[in-house]
Amino acid sequence: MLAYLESQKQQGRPIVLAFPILYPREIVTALGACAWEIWSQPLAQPIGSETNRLQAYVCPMVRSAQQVLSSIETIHPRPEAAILPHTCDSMQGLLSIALSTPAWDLPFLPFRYPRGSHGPASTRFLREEVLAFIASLEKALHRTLDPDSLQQALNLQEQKEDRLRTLLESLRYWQGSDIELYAALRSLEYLHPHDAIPLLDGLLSRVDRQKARTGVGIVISGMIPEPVDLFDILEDAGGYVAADDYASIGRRLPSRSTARNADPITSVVQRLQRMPPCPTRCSEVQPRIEYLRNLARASGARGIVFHTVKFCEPELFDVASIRKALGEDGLSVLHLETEFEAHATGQMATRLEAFIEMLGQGKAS
Amino acid sequence: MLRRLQYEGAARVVAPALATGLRAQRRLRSWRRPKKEPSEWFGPPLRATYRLKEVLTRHYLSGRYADGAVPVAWVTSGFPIELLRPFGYHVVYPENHAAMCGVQRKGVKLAQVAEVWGLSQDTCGYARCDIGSFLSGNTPAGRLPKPDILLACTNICQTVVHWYRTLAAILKVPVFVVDTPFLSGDPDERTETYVAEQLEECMQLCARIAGKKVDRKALGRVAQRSKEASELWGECLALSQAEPAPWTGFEQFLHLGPIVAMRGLPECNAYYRELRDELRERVKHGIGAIRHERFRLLWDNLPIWYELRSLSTLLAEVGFTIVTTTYSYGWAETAPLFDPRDPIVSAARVYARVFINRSLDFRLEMMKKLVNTYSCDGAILHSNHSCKPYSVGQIDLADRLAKEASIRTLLLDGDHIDMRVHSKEQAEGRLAAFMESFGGL
Ligand code: SF4
Ligand code: SF4
Repeated sequence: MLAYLESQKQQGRPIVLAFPILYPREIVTALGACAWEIWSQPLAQPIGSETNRLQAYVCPMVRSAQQVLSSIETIHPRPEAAILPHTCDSMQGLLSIALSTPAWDLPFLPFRYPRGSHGPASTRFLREEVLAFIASLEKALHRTLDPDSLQQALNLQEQKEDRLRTLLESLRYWQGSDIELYAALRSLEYLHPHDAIPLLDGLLSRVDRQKARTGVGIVISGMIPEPVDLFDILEDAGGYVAADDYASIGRRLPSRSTARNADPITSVVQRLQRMPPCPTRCSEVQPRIEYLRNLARASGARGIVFHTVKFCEPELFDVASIRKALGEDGLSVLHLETEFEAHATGQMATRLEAFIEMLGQGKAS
Repeated sequence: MLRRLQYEGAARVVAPALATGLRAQRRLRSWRRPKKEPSEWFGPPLRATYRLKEVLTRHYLSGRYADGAVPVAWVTSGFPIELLRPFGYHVVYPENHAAMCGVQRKGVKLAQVAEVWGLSQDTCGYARCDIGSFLSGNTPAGRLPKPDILLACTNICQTVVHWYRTLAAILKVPVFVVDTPFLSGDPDERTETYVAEQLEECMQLCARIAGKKVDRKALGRVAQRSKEASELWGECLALSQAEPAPWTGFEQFLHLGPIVAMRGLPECNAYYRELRDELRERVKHGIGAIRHERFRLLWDNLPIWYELRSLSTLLAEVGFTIVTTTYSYGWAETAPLFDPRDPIVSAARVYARVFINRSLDFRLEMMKKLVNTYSCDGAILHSNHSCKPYSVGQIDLADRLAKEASIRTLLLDGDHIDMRVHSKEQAEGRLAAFMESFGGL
């Protein structure tokens, strides 16, 4: 990964760190930069000597982000800026810490998706926020955005997303292991769309619509596919991922639209608004229930696994309501929490195995 | 009609009668009982505390009959309540209600109901306590009226959106969220215009639910009352600059009730006038909240509701007193921004600029100002497991405050509602060591 990013930099693409979850990635591409998304601790080297500045009850995603920022001096290639979207109270707190830490010598760019009742005022504000984001990224990168580059970046992003969407809609016919699939998909966190497209084409070539996977299909939801050996456990238990709603993958795919806008900024705004329901965008719970219900129906999944991050309040509230509603439909739900352990814990494994076994027997929880 | 009569009757007849009864009972008791020895550590209790009980009893009592009589809204503490007053809404504050449960040590029992329902113990204790109270029908308030609408404002946190969306799904009522985007730098017009636009949208919705027309003149009058109330609250707080301080920060937490729940109502202003006059009198006569004030402290974050008494005593025994708290001050800080001539736009400013919606640098400056004006010798920062927006960044704040204001600081682990994640012995041990570090004990 670091070698890839270094090569990007050599090609004249500055590196922009992006912390979870939602920001207009196409703008980073349009400014000739490469986004490097930090969802967990990506660095092999030990954390910098700086002491921990977050309490133990803060989620591991924000703690990892803090560790990355604390080691910023030692990271090569050196990023030019960092995007900190307003995802939740904890991420907002980290932004605040970042802005008051001169040693983390980077321009920090907030991105505030409107969390209100999504009336006309929200759309106006989102547009302004996108424009403000462009202005601050231009300043950080010393570059100017032109509408043609933005349109090209949008096209590229959509081509990438079309492939990813097709792949995720065909998981039932994926001819490989889930662990392999997710390892590949995680590279989308840093690949430039030019390189992401061939990767996705390669993955799509391994979809065979004549050969459906056997076993118990599940919908997986949560933040990120980590620890990745969870998928080995799933497979060994006779299960497979039939649909994906990870915030880092499927939940950042805007719904299809045929509308073409003359103004690329309007496209950026509408794409953000067309993202699947997500608590970090403060979506209502009912549309998310419907969305997951449809994912399960369309993919033939028999249950849902919520694989959330410990202390993640946005997800924890939703999971409670969703569990109730889907349980009434007879769709079983399992909730697993991760603290970004290197490997799935024994308890996680046992619960997942038991869940798949139960689904395999056709029992409802 | 009958419901309306019951509602009005509860507010205008039963509650005052109950208050008179309580007063008479108190008087009778004080004649009958041998005079209580004055407390060794605390000054005489505030008379206003009894008034506070009356005011809040009246509010909760009338609430029992509100649904079906008047429109009812459940709102977050930082919601611009002024919008609702002209339409005659009865307003319930789930956070105040949860705090009340916390003080009465009922928080955990109610939270457990919500946990059985499915909420994780890692979600905010206020949310669990209130949802548990609704699901079980168990409340120290007797009964909470069912809302016609839920109104949340993100100026205190984003958690309230998740909480209210969950409540909306349970109660099957609409929810309106006013978003006040986080201000990582100086306030800006773009953000405040967005907030003002949402307030307009929200006001129209509330008018429709109430079946009334928007009355901007009435709104201006309410804004004027809110401004006065916040200023009066500010005056009450400022009286603690005196040495000895006439009341403690923990008492301030209890007396916050009306400014949170009754802003914009004349009773709220009348109450704080009375409180201010009493505090002035105490300052004039040198009456302190504790008997031997030696060291003065600032408290950051929400209180540990179920330990207010024990912590106050622990501090008072060795001459320590909390004289100011960031949370209480927050209710006075933006008061001057209210403009009755432009109630919507000025409300956008008042509510978007609350300190918890601002950067760490801003919060640090505010704390330094409080330390100076209230002559604090130290600060306790309650690291509150339940409350991420208040707590993330406190490790930095404690360090920087200690360095930049040259005071001692303590980061105290706890939870404002959930006693299960608070270790009393550990907290008391840390507090004792902190106090010893001041020397002379
Ligand atoms: S995991 Fe949850 S709490 Fe943590 S940053 Fe993501 S949304 Fe926020
Ligand atoms: S998270 Fe904090 S600010 Fe938000 S409702 Fe809970 S206690 Fe209040």
